[in-house]
Amino acid sequence: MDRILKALQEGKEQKPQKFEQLKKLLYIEPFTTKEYSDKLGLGLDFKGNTTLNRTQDFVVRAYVVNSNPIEIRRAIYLRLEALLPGENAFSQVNSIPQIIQINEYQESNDGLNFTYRAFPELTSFRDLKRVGTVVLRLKATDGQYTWTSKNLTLNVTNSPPVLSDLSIEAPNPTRYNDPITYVANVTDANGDAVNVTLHILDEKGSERSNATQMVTSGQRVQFMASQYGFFNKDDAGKNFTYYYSFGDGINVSVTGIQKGPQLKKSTAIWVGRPKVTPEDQNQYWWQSYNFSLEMKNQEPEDAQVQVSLYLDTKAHPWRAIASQNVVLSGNPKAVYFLVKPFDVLDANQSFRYKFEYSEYDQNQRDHIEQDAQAPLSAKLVRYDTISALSLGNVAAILLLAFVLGLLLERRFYR
Amino acid sequence: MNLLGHDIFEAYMLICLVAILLLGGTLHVMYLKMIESMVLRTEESDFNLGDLMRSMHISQGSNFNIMMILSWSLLFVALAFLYLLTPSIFPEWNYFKIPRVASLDWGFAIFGVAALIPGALISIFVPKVYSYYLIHKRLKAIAAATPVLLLGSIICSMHLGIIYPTSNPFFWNLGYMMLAAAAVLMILPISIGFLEAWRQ
Repeated sequence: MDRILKALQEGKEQKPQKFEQLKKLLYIEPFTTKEYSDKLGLGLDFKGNTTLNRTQDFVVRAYVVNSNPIEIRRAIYLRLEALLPGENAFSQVNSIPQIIQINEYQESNDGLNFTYRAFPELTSFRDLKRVGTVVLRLKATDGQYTWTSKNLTLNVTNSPPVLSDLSIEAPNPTRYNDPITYVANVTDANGDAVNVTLHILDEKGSERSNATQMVTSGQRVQFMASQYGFFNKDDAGKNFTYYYSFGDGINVSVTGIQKGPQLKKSTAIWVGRPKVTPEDQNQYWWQSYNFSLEMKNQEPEDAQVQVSLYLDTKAHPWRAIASQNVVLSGNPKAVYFLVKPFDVLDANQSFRYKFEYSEYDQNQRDHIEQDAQAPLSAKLVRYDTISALSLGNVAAILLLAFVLGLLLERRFYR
Repeated sequence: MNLLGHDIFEAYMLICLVAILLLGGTLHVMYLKMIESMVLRTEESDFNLGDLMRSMHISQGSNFNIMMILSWSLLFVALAFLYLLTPSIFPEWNYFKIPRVASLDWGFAIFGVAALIPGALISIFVPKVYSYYLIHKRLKAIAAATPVLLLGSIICSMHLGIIYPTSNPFFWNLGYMMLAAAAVLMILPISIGFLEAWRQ
């Protein structure tokens, strides 16, 4: 026996052709007994609605009924095949066939040998690039016979992305060089990444520029005008519109045309000499202060500008004090704010003040800041000890205490 | 000297003031106990303390009652003004930390009225306490100086608030002395009553 084996090994290495001939000569065709049944029950088991969303999870199983007794049964090889939308031929879902061994059947009450096989390779159509009808079928073989199941037809749908809360975040009125941001909320029920393109239209409705961003579902898409260079000085005074086109790779949608931004006509102003003049050199907190600023329009026509005054103290950081609209011409004009802006907490503190204006100045800034030359006086109370107000305060306390005493005595001790 | 941001001298002085008031309360309780034990010694039959207190009641007159309610109410105002008006004693808790009130012309009056409320609540019970003592007319006349002293203390404290951040220890000491004198006068009827009972 050893000698035969050794001769065969040598023959395989030295005379492969002869070895192949010998193999063919000795090959025995697979055979089955006469009792072997070539009928196999084969079906696809799918629970739930056959119209389903791409991301919806499901379980598809093979149901196999083998009527042969275990003694003559053969192993069954199972393949799941799918015909995807837009394709002409079935493709194999499980690259490695599932094998049902001869002893892997259960016996039902009516004597049928059956088994189920799930396919973990197919639990959803998440990665489907096109939606529509998907046909599934099973192919089984025992090496001699081949069986094919009935087709299972599924209708696969996609949830298109949604763009909501479209708006433009910008100061009002909006200047061409203000921070202008187009924002919208992006949602996709399937959790797909959404490709969003912003289209900006000019006054004639023609597209003048666009920009694209890839956004994941649930995020806010933001297009900053300054980042993409949407507007320039020549656009001042023009009205623009915009819309979005967006898609998840399957569905592509377009929003309606939205208004905005309406860019304000640009004005170049000149500002200078910010100044604060206290009512008294002692700079008490209770006094009036005159805050002033010189302003003019650098262009010949009149321009309406809003000017606001802000004060910064330790107790009240950058508090808005007052605001006014001024008309600026080519001649310099002093803008005044005569106010009593401080309270007792500001006593003995230094302060800063700021004028904010609705147009850009000669330095392309919309505000000018200045430090006060001296801190406020530390004195907290504005009147003297011997004064009507001081005595009035004492008299008020005394009077109320006396009235209280009178009332309590009458109420509880009479 | 400073302790946790508070002036230790002024803190000690506050303890002295509280001690005077507590002494008054203690003497009052001891006085009642003493009377009770005296009655027990002389009267063998059972008696009710409530009945005894009712029998001890002496009406001091409306004027005296009003004056003592006024004095006890002003005591709280004077205390608040002396200790809580300027940031020099309690830098974190003082009148100037309430800028909306402190910025008003009538801020001192508002602050005073706020301090008056707890004072008035306590002073409701004051005439009842004095009603257990036999207070002579002369003592009542002396006690009439109490609201004047308290008013003087309030004015001294207000002056310190007005001149702040400048300080003047003389006015603080004067205000304190007036307040302490007023407190002593307020517990004087109780102390005298206690001493008289103790002698017997």
